[in-house]
Amino acid sequence: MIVLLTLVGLGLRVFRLENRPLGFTWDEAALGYNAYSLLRTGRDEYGQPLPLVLKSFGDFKPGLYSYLAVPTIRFFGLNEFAVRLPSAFFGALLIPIMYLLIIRLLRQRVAVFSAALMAINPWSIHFSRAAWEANIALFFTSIAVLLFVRRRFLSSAFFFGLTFLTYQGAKFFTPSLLLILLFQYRKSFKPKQLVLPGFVLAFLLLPIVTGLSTQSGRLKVFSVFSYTRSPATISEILKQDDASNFNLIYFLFHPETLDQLRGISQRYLNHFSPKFLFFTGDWSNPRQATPFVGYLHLPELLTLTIGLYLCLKHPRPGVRVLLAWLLLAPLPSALSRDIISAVRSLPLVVPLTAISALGFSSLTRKKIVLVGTTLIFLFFFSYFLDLYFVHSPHYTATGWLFPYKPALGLVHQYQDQYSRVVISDALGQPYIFALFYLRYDPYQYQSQAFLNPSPVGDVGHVSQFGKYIFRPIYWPVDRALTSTLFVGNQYELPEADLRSTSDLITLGEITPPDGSPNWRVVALP
Amino acid sequence: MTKKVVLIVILLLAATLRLWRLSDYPAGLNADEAALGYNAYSLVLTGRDEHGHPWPINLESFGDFKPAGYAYLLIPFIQILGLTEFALRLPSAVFGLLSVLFIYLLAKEIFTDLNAQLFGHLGLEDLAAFTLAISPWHIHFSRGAWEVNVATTLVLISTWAFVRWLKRPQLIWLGASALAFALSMYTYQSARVIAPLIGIGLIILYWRDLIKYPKQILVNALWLAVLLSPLGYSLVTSDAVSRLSGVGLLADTGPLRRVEQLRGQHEQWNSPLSRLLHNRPLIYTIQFLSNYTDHFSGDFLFINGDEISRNRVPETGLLYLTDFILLVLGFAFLIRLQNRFLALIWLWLLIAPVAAAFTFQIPHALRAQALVIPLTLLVSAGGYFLLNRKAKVISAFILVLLFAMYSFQLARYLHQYYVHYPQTYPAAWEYGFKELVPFVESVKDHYDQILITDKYDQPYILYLFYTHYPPSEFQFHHQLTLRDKFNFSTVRDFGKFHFTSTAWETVRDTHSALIVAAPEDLPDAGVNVVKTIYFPNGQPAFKIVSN
Repeated sequence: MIVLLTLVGLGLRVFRLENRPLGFTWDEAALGYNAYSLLRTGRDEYGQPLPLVLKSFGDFKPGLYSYLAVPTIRFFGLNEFAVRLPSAFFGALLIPIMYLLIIRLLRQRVAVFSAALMAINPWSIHFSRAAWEANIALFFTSIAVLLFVRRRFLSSAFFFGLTFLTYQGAKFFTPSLLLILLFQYRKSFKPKQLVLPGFVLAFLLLPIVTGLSTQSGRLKVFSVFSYTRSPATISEILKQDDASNFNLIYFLFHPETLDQLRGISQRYLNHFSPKFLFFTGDWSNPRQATPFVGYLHLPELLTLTIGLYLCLKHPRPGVRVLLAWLLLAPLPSALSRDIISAVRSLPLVVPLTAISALGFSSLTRKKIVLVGTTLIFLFFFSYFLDLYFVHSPHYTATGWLFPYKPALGLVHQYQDQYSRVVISDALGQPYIFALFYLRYDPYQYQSQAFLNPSPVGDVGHVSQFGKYIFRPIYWPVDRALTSTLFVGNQYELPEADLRSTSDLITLGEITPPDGSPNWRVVALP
Repeated sequence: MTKKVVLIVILLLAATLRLWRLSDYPAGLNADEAALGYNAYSLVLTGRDEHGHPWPINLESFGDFKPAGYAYLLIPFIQILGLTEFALRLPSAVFGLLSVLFIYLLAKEIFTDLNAQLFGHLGLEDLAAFTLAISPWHIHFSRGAWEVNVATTLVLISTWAFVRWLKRPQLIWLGASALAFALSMYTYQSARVIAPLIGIGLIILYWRDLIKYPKQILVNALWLAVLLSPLGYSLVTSDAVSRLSGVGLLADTGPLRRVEQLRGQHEQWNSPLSRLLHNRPLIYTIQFLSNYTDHFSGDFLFINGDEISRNRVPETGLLYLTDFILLVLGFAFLIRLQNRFLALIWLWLLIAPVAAAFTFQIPHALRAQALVIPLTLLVSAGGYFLLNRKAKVISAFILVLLFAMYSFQLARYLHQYYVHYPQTYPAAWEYGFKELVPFVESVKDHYDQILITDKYDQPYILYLFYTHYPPSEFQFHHQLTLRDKFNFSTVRDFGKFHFTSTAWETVRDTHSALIVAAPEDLPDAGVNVVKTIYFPNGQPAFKIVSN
């Protein structure tokens, strides 16, 4: 049964993996190209031998995902499918882990339903179908918790450690979950049992801790504490209080800390809002959501409510672990700048699915109810699949940077005839796509890689390598160039201007399905 | 004795929070309040409403057919205090106070076994009364002529009487329950959905108790039929249901557009699959569920509240920020309690947002105000759980901590309410007519026509209200306009007053006219502005031009 569910889950995560979601993000391209570079040269794009952290765009990604992608790229070549496969694979493996974990924490019947619900869960499917490091980290977290509750502390520590090497968000979530587990199971182990696992964990943490100082700028960009109220807002408050400068009223009722506390609470609570879970998904970042659906199926509104009721009614130790997990999971996201984030709160999917399965299990004790409920679930599951496979490209193609692939396909086809290729950076980070889709030789790239750092500590950019130049196109000036190939959007390469350019060669036009600006590939001889 | 003192202190606190400077805050007077007041005034003097209907069940008002209960309730207040803002708002404040009293009584009935557990004297009912007394949601809707607050209180009284009956099955309690229940439906639109659902829910939950007394049920059914027959008659014979067609769920065509768009993205838009997955019943069901559950979102409850400026105080939630913790604890605590009356709290919690979910503008603090009752009970249960420790010292420590936390939050709320609310949303309560009307009255005899901007909702009713315009002269001497897209209508003309858009190019040639214009309608120069009326934040609200 569980094998079957896992296979179904794998099928759902692998089917049309290369073009659903339609497009490919720069993080995926970066993980993929670094894996390719590691495969070919044993070094990352900047020539670092076997790094644990990838410098990438200056966001310092933990590098484990790239290592996982090495074998798939070796086998399937440097393409979207190969880069995404590790995430899909571990996403599917979460299904049996879920089963084993819930048997331990709750009981067998619930465990089967947990595995089934996880197999068809929109949140898990969504994040298994692209190179999301968070999804791998979630798998490691789950298996680590499973091993912990089975008292395999050494291997548990190993997997907890791996989460740090996989995903940024784990730096906060893993330690807090670990503390809760240690507290919950404090009677079931002796301190000396933890010495060796502690060393393993510390060993795996070491490279992350030593790297922290170089990455502090990046952390600052993402932290909610870096964003304070504007002077205009504060002066408006002071004006309304009829005060010319900071006074007691201000410190009492309007301090920055209070405002940030409200902001953090808002972010935290947003992750439990029905809007997020059931109706729209992550509304601040369309790349992390399927249009018009959330991360659980609509009937889970009922099963989740029942499950939550049962959890609170009978809070056994296993339930307590799930509830703690539930309450901790949105914390990393609540402390970061975005008002909501599905990727940073991905670990929520485990307790939510388990609790929903608990509700499902108790709701469907009668056979006829089981059949009926299953049918309703299947209906909403098809509704999700339809939106995901048929409709989502119409809404998210450009969010997923769809135009790069066809545009670079044309570049690949014609570039030999030109001595220069100018690619617009309107969609962000074009260089990594050029490397990826043109399969640029990593040996050659490593010697010329140069990243312009961002002045505010955010991601930097690469402005050129080889004959490829990445910058905005300004046609009135650029039309004077010769032997150049251009990739830009319809505003940078306006039709009227192109028509008035005498010897221009139009190589192709790309129309994204979501109605965003067209992209054009043109050339001057 | 101690218990009585505690209750009296809580009621005094509640009264202070609800009555302090009631006529000035909220700053202004909104058209719905004025309409209730003027219609009550009209009923007192002539026995007819503003449009001349004798003793109506619903007020036609702006075409929105408000239930008339509040206007009838106002009659004695207006007779004693005159037609003032204070008189107008007092009934809601009084019912707010009654809510605090009855949540105390209800909690006392439900949690009999928890009475006098805390510090030897206090019980959950004291916490519930205190929580409701300082609840931002409840204070907000107790301040202003909000019909909803009266309706919610009546449903609360009805529920309390029902629980009383369950414990001592005498006909009088069932009869009282039915009476309060019926009255709520004469008071506010949402109650016409919520009260019957709660009533049916109570019958389903406690039918075993009920069928033991067939005679009482029969008598009470007749009693209820008598009470509700005028309402039934008016619903059948008038346009009163029209309100729903203006603000109702199905009036929002957004979901329908989405269905069409999604179908268009299928290769065959009319294939069985496309029709099965994208259709009207499904999309509106999803929309309803989305609306419904939105009322349970944390942002709405704890952080920012409603979006409509009349229903929200800036930077505050409907509950206090820390209520979230108590709410979760309260849930966990109550769920594990063995108590046959708890079902009643869950019932109320689930039903309260239903009426609001059938409309758009979601989530809606006003239409779903009944939620404040179960949430208050949950929050106070959380407080009870925290305070009920074995060690007295710890209990005392937690009490001090909670007291400090909530004093601070209450103080902050009041600061936001009294200082920032009028300045951040100056137009939310149609501020300015109080100053405008006496000025216009003092000079109106010099002009043939008086033009007043229609920028602020329903100016005519505010004018009638502040001038105490004789209702007998107004009835039958005016016309309601056709309905706009939200199904509202207004009155454009009465006497020499005209309520219209005051865009300068359209009104500049009206002579011997006093023009009360919206500030942005006037050019900077070449206009004879005789007076400017300002909002509390110093921005101009009206500019008065002598033409």
